Amino acid sequence: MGGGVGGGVGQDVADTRKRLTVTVNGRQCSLMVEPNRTLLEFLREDLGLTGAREACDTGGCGACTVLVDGRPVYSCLVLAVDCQGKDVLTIEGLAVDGRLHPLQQAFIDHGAVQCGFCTPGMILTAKALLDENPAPTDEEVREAIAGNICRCTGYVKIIEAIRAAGGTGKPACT
Amino acid sequence: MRLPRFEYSEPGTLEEACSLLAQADTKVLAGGTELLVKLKQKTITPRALVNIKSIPHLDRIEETEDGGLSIGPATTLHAAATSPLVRDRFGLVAEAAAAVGKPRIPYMATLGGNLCLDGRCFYYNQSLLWKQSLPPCYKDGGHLCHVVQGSDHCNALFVADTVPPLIALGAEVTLTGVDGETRMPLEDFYTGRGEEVNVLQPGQVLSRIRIPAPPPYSTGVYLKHSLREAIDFAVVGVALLLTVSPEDGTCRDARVVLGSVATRPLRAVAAEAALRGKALDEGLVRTAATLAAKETHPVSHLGVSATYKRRVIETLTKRAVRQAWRQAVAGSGSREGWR
Repeated sequence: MGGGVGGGVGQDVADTRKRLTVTVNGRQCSLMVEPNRTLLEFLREDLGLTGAREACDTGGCGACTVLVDGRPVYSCLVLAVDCQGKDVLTIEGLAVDGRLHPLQQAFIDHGAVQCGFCTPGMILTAKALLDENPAPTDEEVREAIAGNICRCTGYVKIIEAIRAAGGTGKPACT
Repeated sequence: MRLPRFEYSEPGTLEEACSLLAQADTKVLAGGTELLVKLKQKTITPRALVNIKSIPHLDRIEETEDGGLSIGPATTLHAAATSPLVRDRFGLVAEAAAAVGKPRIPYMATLGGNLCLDGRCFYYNQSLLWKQSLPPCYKDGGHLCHVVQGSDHCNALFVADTVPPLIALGAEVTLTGVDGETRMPLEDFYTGRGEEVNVLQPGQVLSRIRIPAPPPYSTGVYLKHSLREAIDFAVVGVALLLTVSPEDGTCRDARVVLGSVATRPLRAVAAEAALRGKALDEGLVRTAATLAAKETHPVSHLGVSATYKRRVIETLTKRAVRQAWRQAVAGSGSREGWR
């Protein structure tokens, strides 16, 4: 991002930025952003929220999944300026007062985190699923996370964790 | 991958959008799931984007006076797939909308965007860097096709899932431009040319989709086969609208529309003719399916051979007719003019 507000640098270049007011993890923020910035770049680079990951960057892997107004979206394929007035939830906003969200705890208890790269996207996708369907079947979980790729291929434990958090799965081995 | 720079506007009205789109090198932004990928790969580098989601009421689904539906182009595929108005009477459209890049893309992509989807090709939908190793093809302004050597035209595939069911139902689209509105059957919206898939001109927006009330005693099916269940385009999509005579159960009319087999959505007219006026039985199902596979001329493309594609057309057509037939039998006697 070159140039400060008011155009101190490059006076002859028109400021093409737009004001974006958006609620991220419950807090409203208002920033000037370039129209060609994706929501993913906005979250990671402007707000420093690096939980949403960049991997395929073309809407195929799910690593960049965040919730916009409660719905899971690929943040690499959404313009930041397109989120005007919307409510964005990233993995950083899931724990409350240092207490992990039941899904996060279930992922730990079930060993559903291997390298961790897909985990934020998986957990947010699972949250959207459980918000709509609190007690999903195995099949429903598999369908919901079909848009998220885990390259460690640790799907079984992820599915177990999501079902446990929904109260329909087996308890974790102790 | 960074998006290239572009001018960006959020018009408040359709008129404003049209005058912006009349300017050189301007593209519509709706769901963005196809457009932003192409921008990142520098497949296209438009000067300006016009976000039509800022126009009020463009995401509405309403019942029309004649019992049909009027759907705004900015309606998300998820909204279309879950709306009771669509699901209850136009189930094949709901099925198709939910099948586009499922499970995630429907939350972002729009119905209008799916209708305006560009032709898809292994050689065209690549990054600029990748493409530098090959001479430009027809779709990139060149004079050859990499898919079919020696072909005199572009072979980019028409892959939009929602279009075959909408054509089967006889849907119409409204194009709004700086000079006013044009209404046309959705079938006529497509050119059959891979380079320019639809008839939209600069300064025009697809502003409304109208589906007429389904004929009495009709039932519809959309079946999609893709290599992967999730986030994938169709190898073949088959839409069928079957109208049955309530007296004797014969097929009064059939509309069979295929996706992902040509540069445009394709009516399987020979299969339709074979079904029309006949008593439905297993022999007829097989005849219609064989005709559907024979009357198309798919090319080997996107990891799928032409032979395989033909087999899938045949199989899906068979399944579609059987399923519609079953739905018709189950529906008869339940209520007047069941759909």
